[in-house]
Amino acid sequence: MRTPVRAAVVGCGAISKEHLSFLADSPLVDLVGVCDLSEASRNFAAERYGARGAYDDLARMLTEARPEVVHVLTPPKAHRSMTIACLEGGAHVVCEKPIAHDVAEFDEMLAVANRCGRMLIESQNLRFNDACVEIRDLISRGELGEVLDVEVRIALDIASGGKFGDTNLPSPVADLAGGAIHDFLPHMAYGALQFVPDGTIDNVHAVWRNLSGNENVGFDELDAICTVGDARLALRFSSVLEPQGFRFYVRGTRGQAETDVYQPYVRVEVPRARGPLSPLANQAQNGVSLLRSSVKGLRDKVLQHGTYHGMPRMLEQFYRSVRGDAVCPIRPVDIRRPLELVDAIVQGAVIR
Amino acid sequence: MKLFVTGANGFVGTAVVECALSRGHEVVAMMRPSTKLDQVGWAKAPGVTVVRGDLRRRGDWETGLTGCDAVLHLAAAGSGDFYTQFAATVIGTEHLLAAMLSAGTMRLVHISSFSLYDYRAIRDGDPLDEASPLEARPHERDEYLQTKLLQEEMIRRFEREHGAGVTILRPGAIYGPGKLWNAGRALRLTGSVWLAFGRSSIQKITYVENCAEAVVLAAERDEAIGRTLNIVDDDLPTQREYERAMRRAGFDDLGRTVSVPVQLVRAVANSLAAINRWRFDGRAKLPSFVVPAKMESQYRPLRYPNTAAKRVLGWQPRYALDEALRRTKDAERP
Repeated sequence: MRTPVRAAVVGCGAISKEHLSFLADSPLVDLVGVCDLSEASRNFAAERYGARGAYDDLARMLTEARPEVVHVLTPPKAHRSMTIACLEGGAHVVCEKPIAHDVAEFDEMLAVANRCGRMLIESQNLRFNDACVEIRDLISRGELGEVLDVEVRIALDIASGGKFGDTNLPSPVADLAGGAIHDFLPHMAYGALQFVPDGTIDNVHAVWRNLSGNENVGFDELDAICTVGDARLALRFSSVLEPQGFRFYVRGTRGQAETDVYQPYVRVEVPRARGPLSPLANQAQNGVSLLRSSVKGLRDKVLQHGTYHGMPRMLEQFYRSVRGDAVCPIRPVDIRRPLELVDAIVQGAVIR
Repeated sequence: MKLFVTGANGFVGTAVVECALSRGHEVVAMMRPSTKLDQVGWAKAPGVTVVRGDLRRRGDWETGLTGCDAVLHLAAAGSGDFYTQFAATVIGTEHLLAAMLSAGTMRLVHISSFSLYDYRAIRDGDPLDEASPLEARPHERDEYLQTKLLQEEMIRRFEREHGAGVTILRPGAIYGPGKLWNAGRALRLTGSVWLAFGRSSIQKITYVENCAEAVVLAAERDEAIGRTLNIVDDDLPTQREYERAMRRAGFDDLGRTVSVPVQLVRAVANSLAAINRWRFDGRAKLPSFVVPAKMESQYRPLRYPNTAAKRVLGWQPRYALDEALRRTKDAERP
């Protein structure tokens, strides 16, 4: 039996639950510490997930607990300093999104990782969700042809309250250029780019709006379009449209696929029969598939197989890569390209 | 006394401030930044100072504690996911206690909850009182119980480590204008027909003005320091009696209820829990009324004495059920 990897977490807020659930249960991991300025938060996390130590100081945790991997789960403004401290302290880093404010900041963090010989990844858990894996498989088998159009649409009311729209307390992402939407942009950007071939990001046009008047969200509507090589992308966010969802539409020269991350299903339209029967065959096939998805959706709800089900898959592969048993699940280019897209959308902004 | 009240414009907070003012106290009322003062009747009353802030973040609100004789801590989250409630209830309290230490205000009346008890550890028909055990398996209950339990543990630690004068009040379900207890209704079958469980179970309730008076008395009484007291009214009604009283008070749009004995609900909940453990390793998330721990906390037929609170606080619930519901109805009239 090989020695588990010593892991620690800095930042014990809401997202820590998804990371700590894996760290507490995985035989690959020995959870040696949690760190948070709040005594209540760190003590709760340590007790609930069985961490060996609870710390209020990152430097002390790095010295005393000697983690080989640290999960940086603090608000985004602390990502750079915390990540660099961990890398220089000898730990690989899993950082929550957005890993950096912009490409330049990420390049600085990556340079430190390279200098220290450590791995640095951004949590891109949606890549590992069933539906995203299924659509990538369709693309790699050539069933959609050459993908030339990807649209990502989020409809989610972030302005009326909750973490982002709270009128009493600005959210931890309020200082990002895209306000609350910026917190979703990494998911939208890597989510879109995973389906298209690499290419130059160009022709960016982005319209940012605040329809709610809630200043704490910054922006609550975004319509962005751009080209990536021959493909075109659309990233759209709305706080007012219904039904709520997080949908991907992937269109290629042979067919198209769509899914919803929040209510998973995969609808695929490809040539299935000769001539005029193909649309009918697609409808029949998708009818059965949607029915299965609704049954599975109910089962997923009851069994709490939620939007974060890709997280343990991503982390398991990362920990195997730390032990040298697998390749790292997310390469630097997988982080840098979405950041370039986000930078372009922020810089190419038309604000209304 | 000069009393610092958190959650001052909330359902209970409003009644507490009004009671404190009527008893001649000064009030420093903490309200969140988005609260509109013109909607708070007493905000400009003599003896009231309004302090703006959110307990989830330390800030200027802490200066309001200077010179206060006691803190009445009512603010907490009643809904939201675990981390939303943790931030408001637990981290908010952590900040409050740190600010109290800095200000040297070391007297605290904390509003906890009846939900903290381990209902499964008490037999049907037995009394639930201050000596009853607290929930031993909080992960089987809801986020509210889990965060209120953490909050109370933190306050007890504060009391031990800093020698603070702490009184913990655990009110039952608090009812009053805008917030009526649901009389055991668990599930809406159709538009006006409800499924109700345990109609013969006694309701652990207190009318908001009665509860508010207990809170203020707890601050006034040195005998209350170090005590934990349950707050429920006298002559508690069963669910059926409560619904009849509501109708007498003029609440006539209650619809119809189909009664299900608590024993039957218990049998269904225990069966589903066994299937959940057997087939799904306990991971299945089911409606609260078929989760044994949650179902028992809502519907188990117990008795709820209030003798300790009455003795220690010199408290006598001022309004009996019928009068309390009449006042509620009057307050809700446009």
